[in-house]
Amino acid sequence: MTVSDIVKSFGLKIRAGKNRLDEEVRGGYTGDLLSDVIAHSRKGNIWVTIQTHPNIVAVATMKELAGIILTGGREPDSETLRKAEEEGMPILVSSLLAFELTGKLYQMGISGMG
Amino acid sequence: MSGAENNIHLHEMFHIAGGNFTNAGSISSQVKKILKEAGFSSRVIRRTSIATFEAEMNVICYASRGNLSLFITPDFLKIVVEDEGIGIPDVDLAMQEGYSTASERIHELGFGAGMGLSNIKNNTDGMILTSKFGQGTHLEFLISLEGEDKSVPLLNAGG
Amino acid sequence: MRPRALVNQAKARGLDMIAICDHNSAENTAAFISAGDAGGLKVLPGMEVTSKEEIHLIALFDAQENCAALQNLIYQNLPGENVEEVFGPQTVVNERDEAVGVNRRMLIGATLLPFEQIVSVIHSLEGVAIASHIDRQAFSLVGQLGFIPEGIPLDGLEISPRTSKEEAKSRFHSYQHYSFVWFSDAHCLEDIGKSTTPFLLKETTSKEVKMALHGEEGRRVMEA
Repeated sequence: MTVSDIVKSFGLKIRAGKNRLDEEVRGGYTGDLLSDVIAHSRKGNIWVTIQTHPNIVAVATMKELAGIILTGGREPDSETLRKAEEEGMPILVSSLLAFELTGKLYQMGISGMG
Repeated sequence: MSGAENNIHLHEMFHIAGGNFTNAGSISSQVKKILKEAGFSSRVIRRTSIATFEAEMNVICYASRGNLSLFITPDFLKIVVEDEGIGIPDVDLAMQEGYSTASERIHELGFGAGMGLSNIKNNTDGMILTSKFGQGTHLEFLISLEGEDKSVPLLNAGG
Repeated sequence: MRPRALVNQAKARGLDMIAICDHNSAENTAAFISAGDAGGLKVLPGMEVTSKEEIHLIALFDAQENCAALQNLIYQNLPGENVEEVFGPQTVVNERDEAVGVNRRMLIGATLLPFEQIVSVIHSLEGVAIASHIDRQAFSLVGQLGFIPEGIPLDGLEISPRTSKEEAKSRFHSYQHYSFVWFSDAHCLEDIGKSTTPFLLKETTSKEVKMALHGEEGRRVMEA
């Protein structure tokens, strides 16, 4: 499954990295404490969070995540967008809340660990 | 001060959107940056930043929109803030808003309704406040550059 | 905490200066400053602000008016009402240890303001900005954001009493261009002075503390 498949399934809004949506998604991680995401997310994960700070791009890039989904309709900070475009990191926005979106992703076959 | 107005080295205007708290403090921070780059003393920068922040917050809190203009002349800095907002019903009363006793102070600090006008007054060398209730407010304040090192500023005019 | 008891306790622990930093509020600072004046202890007005990323940030001032200006911005950006049954009453006191009011805002909550913006406003108001307990995972700059973003003009980093100086120096080696300080983060009388930082200052003001944090003009943070 690719990031693009997820975008289509949930009608996510694409805010950055639209050329990088063909990345294969392997597992997912949900969390807002970036120190925890650094410690526990894995390469290829789709990351579900409410943090919009520019550091999310650095964390996702460092951990080679497939993309970031902001939940609850939260929009990325402008600096976050700039960095995401620079790094080619997909940032997607969902109106669903984190629990619900994570559940739906799991149902789609994206299991916890990558 | 009218004579000195011919001698403006820099005039910059910033737009402030009422109710937009997510950017609160950004105008005072830009003004501070301009003054820093122009080489003003930390005393001038400090006083201007504090007064500008208070003025900016008032526009954000009480107006639908406003403009803040910064004028730099050889003798003083002048800041003019004009807004379209609810205005102030009693300017004299608003200015008195008080720090005279401890209990009033607690009240002032406590319920946060103060407009910081006394803080503007305390950090500037002259302040004019006029307001039409229901229409808007016009605030001007000066920071004197007397005793400042005149050789340091300024600036490629033009702005 | 009661102002007079707190001043006595701080003096008994040998402190020269303390700061009152309630969460997202400075309504109690005036009473503690008056009690400090009466009892011979320097008390700085301050606040521990919660950013929208849920990072705690200490702001210290000299002028109460500037602290009040920050409080004004915080209050405009702090949603919710306190639930006394859960979080307890938020009493406002005077310098005679009397309760004079109750703060109904949800002070324990997060503001809607980005961390960097709060730092910038504190500096516009001539305050000192110190990231709180960066060694903890909860509500800290490092815990919430994973690492300290480059170019944030913080004046210092606070380490909680649970991390020793040696441990902090090795763990936060990459942040050594900032000054480290240890504060007690005292939420009750017994904790006052549990952790302290000696400064070499000309006088007990936040301005001097800032100079010390940046190692300016002979002021410095001393090794304990």
